[in-house]
Amino acid sequence: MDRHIVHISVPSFPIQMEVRRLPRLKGWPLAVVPNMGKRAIIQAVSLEALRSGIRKGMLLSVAQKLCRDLEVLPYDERYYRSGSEEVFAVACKMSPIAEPVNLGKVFADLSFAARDARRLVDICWRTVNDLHNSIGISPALGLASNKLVSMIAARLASENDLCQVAGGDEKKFLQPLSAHHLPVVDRKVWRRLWLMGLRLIGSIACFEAADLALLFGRSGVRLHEQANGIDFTPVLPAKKSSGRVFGEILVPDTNDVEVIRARVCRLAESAGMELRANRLQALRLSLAIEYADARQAEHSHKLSRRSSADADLKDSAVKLLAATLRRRVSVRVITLGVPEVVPAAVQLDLFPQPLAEKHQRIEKAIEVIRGRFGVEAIGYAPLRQSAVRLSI
Amino acid sequence: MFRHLSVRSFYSFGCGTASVERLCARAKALGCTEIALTDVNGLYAIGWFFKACEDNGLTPIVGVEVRHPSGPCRAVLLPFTRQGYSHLCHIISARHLEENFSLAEAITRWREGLVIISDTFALLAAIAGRGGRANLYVELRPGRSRSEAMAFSRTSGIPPIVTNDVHFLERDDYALHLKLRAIHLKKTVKTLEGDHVASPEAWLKSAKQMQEEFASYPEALANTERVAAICASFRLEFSRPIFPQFTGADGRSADEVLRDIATTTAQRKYCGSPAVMERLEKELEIITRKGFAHTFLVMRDIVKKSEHTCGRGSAAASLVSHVLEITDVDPISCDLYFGRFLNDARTDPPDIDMDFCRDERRPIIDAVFTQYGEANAAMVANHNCMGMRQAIRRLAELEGLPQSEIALVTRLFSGWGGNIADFCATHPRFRGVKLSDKWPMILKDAEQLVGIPSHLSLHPGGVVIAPDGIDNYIPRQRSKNGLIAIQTEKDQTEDFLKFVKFDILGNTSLCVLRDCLCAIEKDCGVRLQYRDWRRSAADAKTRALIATARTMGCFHIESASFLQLLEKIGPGLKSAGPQKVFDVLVILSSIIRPASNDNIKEFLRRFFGGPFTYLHPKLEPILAETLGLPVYQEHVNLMAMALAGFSEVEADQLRKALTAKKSEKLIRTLIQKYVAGCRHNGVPEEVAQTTARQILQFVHYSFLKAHSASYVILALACTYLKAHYPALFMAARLSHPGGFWSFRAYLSECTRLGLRVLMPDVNNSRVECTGRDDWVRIGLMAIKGVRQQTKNKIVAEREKNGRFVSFADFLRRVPVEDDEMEQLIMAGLFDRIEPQLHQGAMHYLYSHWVGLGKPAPMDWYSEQRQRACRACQPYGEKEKLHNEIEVFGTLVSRHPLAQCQATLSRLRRVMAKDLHRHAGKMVTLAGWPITSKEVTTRQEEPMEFWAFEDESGVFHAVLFPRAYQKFCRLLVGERPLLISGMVQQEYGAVTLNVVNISKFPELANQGKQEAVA
Repeated sequence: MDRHIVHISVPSFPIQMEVRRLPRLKGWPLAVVPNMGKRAIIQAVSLEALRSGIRKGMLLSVAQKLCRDLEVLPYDERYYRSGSEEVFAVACKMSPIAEPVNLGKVFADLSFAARDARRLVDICWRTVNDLHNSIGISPALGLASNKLVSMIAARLASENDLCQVAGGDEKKFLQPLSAHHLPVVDRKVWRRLWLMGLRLIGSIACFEAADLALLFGRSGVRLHEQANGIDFTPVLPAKKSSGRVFGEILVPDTNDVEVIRARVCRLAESAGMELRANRLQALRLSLAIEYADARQAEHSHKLSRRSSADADLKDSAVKLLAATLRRRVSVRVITLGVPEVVPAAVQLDLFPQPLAEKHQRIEKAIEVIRGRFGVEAIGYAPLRQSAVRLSI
Repeated sequence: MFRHLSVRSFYSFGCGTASVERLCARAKALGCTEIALTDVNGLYAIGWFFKACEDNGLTPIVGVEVRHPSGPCRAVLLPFTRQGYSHLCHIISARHLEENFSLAEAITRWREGLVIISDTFALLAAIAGRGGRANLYVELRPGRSRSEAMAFSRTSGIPPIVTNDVHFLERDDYALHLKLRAIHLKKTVKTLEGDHVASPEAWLKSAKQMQEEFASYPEALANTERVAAICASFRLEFSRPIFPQFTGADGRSADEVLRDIATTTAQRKYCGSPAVMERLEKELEIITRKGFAHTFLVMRDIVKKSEHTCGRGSAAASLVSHVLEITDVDPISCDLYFGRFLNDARTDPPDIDMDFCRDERRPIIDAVFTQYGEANAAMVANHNCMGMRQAIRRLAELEGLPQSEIALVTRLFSGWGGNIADFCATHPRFRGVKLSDKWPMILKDAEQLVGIPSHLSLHPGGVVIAPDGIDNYIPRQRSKNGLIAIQTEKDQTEDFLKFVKFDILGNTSLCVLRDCLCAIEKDCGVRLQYRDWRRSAADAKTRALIATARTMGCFHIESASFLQLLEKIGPGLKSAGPQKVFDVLVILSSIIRPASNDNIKEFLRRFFGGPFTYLHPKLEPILAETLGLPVYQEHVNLMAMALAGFSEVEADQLRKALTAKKSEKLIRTLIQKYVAGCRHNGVPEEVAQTTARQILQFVHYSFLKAHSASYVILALACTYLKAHYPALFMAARLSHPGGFWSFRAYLSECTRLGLRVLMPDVNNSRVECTGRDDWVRIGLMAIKGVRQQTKNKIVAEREKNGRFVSFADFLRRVPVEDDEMEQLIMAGLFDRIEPQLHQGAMHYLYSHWVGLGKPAPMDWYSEQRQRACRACQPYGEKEKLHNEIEVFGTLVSRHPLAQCQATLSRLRRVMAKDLHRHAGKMVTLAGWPITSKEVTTRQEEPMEFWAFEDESGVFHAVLFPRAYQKFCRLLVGERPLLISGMVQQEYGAVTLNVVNISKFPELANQGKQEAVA
């Protein structure tokens, strides 16, 4: 049976969500940044801002000088996530098989309507209207026989539009496009393609898979498939991730190890609270650091025993920090991940563990206080000190 | 009374915070009579320390804290005999030079004459075990357990001693100490560990404070006094110059050999002229009396090691130097003043500066080291101190700021001088710049770091030789490039240690000259002598180049300001004789110096026949050649002797005070003495004051005639070669970066000379650039990202096994790295052997070949070649330009303004070559910035001189303060600009007085982003 995959993509999703929240912003040059410091990096820009020369990834301070009227909005991940869930809900109405990819981006498998081409298009247009009328955002849709082509088609479609690629026309559709549209083409591959004068997908498609494998190693085979519009990956229904991620943006950036250590411990406490609330235990921790110059470092390690206790998590997180923090450049973002969790063990201890019980009681008491008076209301002594330092 | 026996200055790199001058002044204020300086692992500041002690009436105690390369083992070593000092130097040299250095073994070996103080118990026990407890002390210092030290002292029987382990001057300087340590160890202040830093109490306390603090240890205090007394009684002195002994083959003395060679050569050269022989005799007498015959003969030996040299500096005024062929200038015909080089009162050894081809310098230094022995020769060091930009950079790194942000701010500080807060508040570059929160503190702290030594480097050419071993005088250590250097810089080396320094300097223009002469001999069969300046100056073509200011590429007379001056004076040189051309060039190369605009204008006026009178009749014979204006350093000596009645010695003192930038106080005193002398000799007050002002202008910067004359000989040789062999000369010039102008500017000069610039080619390019007839071919050297070894390999393979016939042939014969191959293809190296194959296809073929595992038989080649040509797209014009910039760092096939063809075709602009036709008019030019010089006006306002270039030539522009304020931020980085202004003409030279600068519309957006950034 022929496959029909639609890709729903909301261009500049954070910007569209902000305009939806505050319609007066429509038509203004807008930029969304994760934090409001001068060295913040722009995450999304509106069309008007693009016209002023502002680009995604640019420093906010530079952007503000390029466009004095630029409206800067903070990155509100929770709000965007809820919006993305709304988009996903609409996609689920189209098809029982829908796969969320990223914020405002969803694949849906419409193969069930394969026999009626007109119905397919109707479904897509209805979805466009639904999203536009009920949620207030303007998506771009791509309809093709596989995920790859539908994604590229959606990228080429304008807002509230559908770009359809008929089955069998994939190669023809891709031929005149620049090679950087292919997901396999990262910076390194693009440089080599550029040097060889293989800038269009069509030029790449001329080569045999074996030739491309010679030129690009493992990527070569994927490059051959993608250049020929071949993608057999199925649309996978949403699967709830079991892992947890806790992040914090440091304002201002700092290279003060005490402050960074305190923040990592705070994240470990948050992780502990959430794990305990969900009766889960961590098997592994990961710590990612983004420096002020955008370089990143990441380490992870397996806990010596599954745990959700603050002391264990903090101890591991601090060890991870020592392994990860190797430069003097200030740190901007810390992300503590708990990639592997398991349900909390219900096995009771054979012998009394007075110290562990004492810690548990303290943790519970802290949770109660935080529940009533907020997270900042109470903390471990070193954290309080660091908080004071930060406020200075 | 307590004496400080363990004190570090900021010459303990990254440890101490105070200069030796401040330490000594503070010690005097605290009532000390003696003070030790024990810098870490070195005697870097020994000369400054003795001088500071002398200025403050203190008795110096020499010492060093030797730290083991690994681990916390340390000891303070204080010599109390001359032998002890020599041993100390041996220990430090061993610490720096020996791979498996052991502090205990070194101290045991060279223990005689040294007091050893340490709180490393294992070290003390080891030393005591091997050589007894004499002069061995257990150190009680802040931050360490005193009870443990005392317990060890009691059990081992080694007496205790008190030090304060001084690292900084005041208690408050501790923060600065921490920052220095963090910078030095590349950590943050918070991540410094206990062993990394001194105790917060390690500051220079008074004797009373120390006695109160250590009142419980009277024995230790008494030991401190006793050791201080022993060490202070040792007076270290270097009274005699240190230089190698020349040993003649026949056992004659150096004086005899020198006299013999000099007299024989002079008689041959000057046909026994009595005047010449009299001068030679006078010079030889002084040289013999001073005992410097060895120095001259050794220098002659060194000079003989190379065919292409240029003796310069004051030595060029010596007839002995000339007849020994150390220098080229004839001091008789040039009337050079010998007293500037050597006179009876001069106690410091003569300074002979020799230029060698830059690429021959290292082999010559190696040969000197081999000849005199590794232990007897060493380079002179340079103490690199932190400037404002470095200080800002280091502190900003400490605060964790990213490099991009640091670069944005430090770039604004180019040309900084004076108070940093004033600079930020007043300089136009800071207008509208908002610095983030961390910056005010960084900038404030940076002022404290400015002037603190950061690391040791090498003097450009200074070599010292001690016949009995350098380690008897000063420690040595290895530099990054492997050469061994002493720990002091040139002033301490010459003035305090009394080493005779041989300057073996590198000169790029000598390489240009050498390569060009070789190419002429090879291609044209002509062997030229570059030292024959009369032939060059008499040559019409050479004179024409000089008179029309087309000397770009010619050593010493190619700078932007020199070209402008030549434009002005050129008409007067067209019909001049060789001697006049030579003399004028010598004057011009000396008269161009900072703050001498008025002097230059006045000289030009007089040169073109303007009337003038000498300020005093006695000045006429002195200043006749420079039309009544003092130009050379020698003029200071001669004027002081003629008008103020100074003796030769006093006059030279005045000259030295001015040119060596001695203290303002000394200069003022000598000038007052000069004015008083003039009055005494009946010189009118006005003349005395005017000449005193003229003399004071030499404070900034000045040349001596002998030095200028030496360089003008080279300059004339270069100009002669440029006039007669332009392709060969420009090829040699392009091959040796380091001239005044950029590679790009020299390429434009090639075009202006009518030469075709050919791109690199695998079968025709050599590593260096080559030229012939009407073309210059860019060499492989210009291709970035390719190792020198690979470039040599390509040429060697071609010369050995013949020309490459195809791209595949090259792949088979020359192994290169992948990234190098990318660059070679983009440089167009194979475009001629594979005209059917575009560069994209070549990249494909290479990658395919690599993918196949680089097989030797190339069966696949023809098949894949067809496919590559079909599938790969050839590069567009823009992509080619992009590649060129990536490979060569600039556009080489065409002028950079070609990028803006769209605007240029619409624009009504004046070309640089036609600028003189628009004198007095407002015009607009398109220009590519090539060089600039920022200066300040008398009102201390910044302004800037710029040289821009378009397709037709170079034009000079000046941004007066108002224009500078408006446009200085546009003139950052290389980009084409539209420059409007009023054309001003002076003596035929045209300058653009800038009123507006704008960017090209094509690059407006890019420029906007850069400017904002």
